[in-house]
Amino acid sequence: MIQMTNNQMIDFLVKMYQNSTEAIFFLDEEGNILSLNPAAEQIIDPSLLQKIKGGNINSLCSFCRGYTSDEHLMTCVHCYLKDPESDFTSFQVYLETNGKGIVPYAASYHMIDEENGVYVFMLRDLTLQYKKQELVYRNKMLQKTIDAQEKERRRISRELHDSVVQELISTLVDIRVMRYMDEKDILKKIDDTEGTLNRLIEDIRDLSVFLRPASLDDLGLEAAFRSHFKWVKQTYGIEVSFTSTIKQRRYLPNMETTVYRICQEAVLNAVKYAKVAEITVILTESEDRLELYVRDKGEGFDVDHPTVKGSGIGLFGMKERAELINGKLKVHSEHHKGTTVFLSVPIPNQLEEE
Amino acid sequence: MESFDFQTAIHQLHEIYEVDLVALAMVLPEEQFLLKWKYISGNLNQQYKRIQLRTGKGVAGAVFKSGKPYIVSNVPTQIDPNKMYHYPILQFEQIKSFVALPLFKNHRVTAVLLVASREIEGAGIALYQRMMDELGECFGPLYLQELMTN
Repeated sequence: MIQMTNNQMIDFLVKMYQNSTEAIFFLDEEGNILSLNPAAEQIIDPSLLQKIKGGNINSLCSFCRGYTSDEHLMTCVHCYLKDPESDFTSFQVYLETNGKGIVPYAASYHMIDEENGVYVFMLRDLTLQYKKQELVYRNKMLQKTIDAQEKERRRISRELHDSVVQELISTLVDIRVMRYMDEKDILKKIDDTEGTLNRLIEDIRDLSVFLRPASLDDLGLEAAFRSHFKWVKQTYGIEVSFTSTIKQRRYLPNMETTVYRICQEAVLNAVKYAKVAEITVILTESEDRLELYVRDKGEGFDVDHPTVKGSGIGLFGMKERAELINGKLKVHSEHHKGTTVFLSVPIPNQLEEE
Repeated sequence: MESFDFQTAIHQLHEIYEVDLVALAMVLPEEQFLLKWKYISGNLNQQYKRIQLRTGKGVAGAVFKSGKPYIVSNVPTQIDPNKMYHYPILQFEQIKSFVALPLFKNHRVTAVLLVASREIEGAGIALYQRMMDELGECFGPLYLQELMTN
């Protein structure tokens, strides 16, 4: 590295200030703008920039819309300009920009001249990075959705192949054998075959209900839930205590489907991971919203950092489904205390008028 | 079949083989495709009573369907922990190893005998061999092997 003279250094710094893609503001102790570089000028709305250059407006607040603190996404509480003691070497700030609306920036704010009270405020545009992150996230989730779909198809295909086709073949063989049997034996064989066919019917019925419960279309949420919970109790040995206080019998079809699927997923999650003998499900109406609680007193997990045990699509899928019908989904969980899934969906007015 | 005292027989197996749990699942007489745990010895709780299995589902369902013994000497490594919920009896009774045998009547599986341990390797091939040697052909009115007569 060559030894740099002071003049060279100043030259470099001026060039950096002029040509940097990073927006640089020099501010005084009150947060008034002393100077800003060309990159910073580009961010700000031209008419506002005029006023700043003319000295009519000095404050950063004219286009700052808050920063991301520990508690809030966008806030002016404990403003970075007024709290020089705190660490603001790297934080996220939202600015009203020229033509692009409110945009998040990665910012740093620190004192560079203690004597004269001069601060530097530097910004880097995060939009591109955000978009990329979002795209990566979306692609990942789409991939997971496709995988889950494929997995489900494989399960159905295997079920059809292993149980339905197998049993049919065995029935066919039984019937063929009957040709060569005594009449007395045939009657017994018919009994057996009847048993096989009954079992087969039950298998297919199960599969069909699992795919789409007819009771949901014909009788509504309450009935569909009751039969599903009976099935859960028998198959997994776990009691689901179900309370419903809904007044309305039927809701819009897509709303019923969504609530049913979310409940099914939440209950299955509890069955798989909570390690409990009982799950509580409450379906209720409050004002103009349909609410669903699925509660267990089991293992619980860290909601912010769940260790993915299954496909990792469950919780995400539940939230996505809820959002599609303007619903809200909240998951509360504590280790060794249990998990509560709460779903709240607005009830549209149309059905009441009908 | 009704005259045979299954409960006592189950208790005896429990003592003879020094395992933690012995249970017998039977096909429901009214619905030939459902299995329930009817007789049990050494259980920790009553949760088994809720279980009703279909062909192919759960430990009993798998044996019922295949007609073959199902032997797992190390549940935590041989059964995917994420699929454990398909085997409620193993979870409720904290089973770590087991032998499950089909029992036949009229060439059909009508019951499944579960002999299980709460310790890894507590039950396995050796136990299965011993049982097959000692029990002989029958367990009460039920056969241990599907007899090939027709």
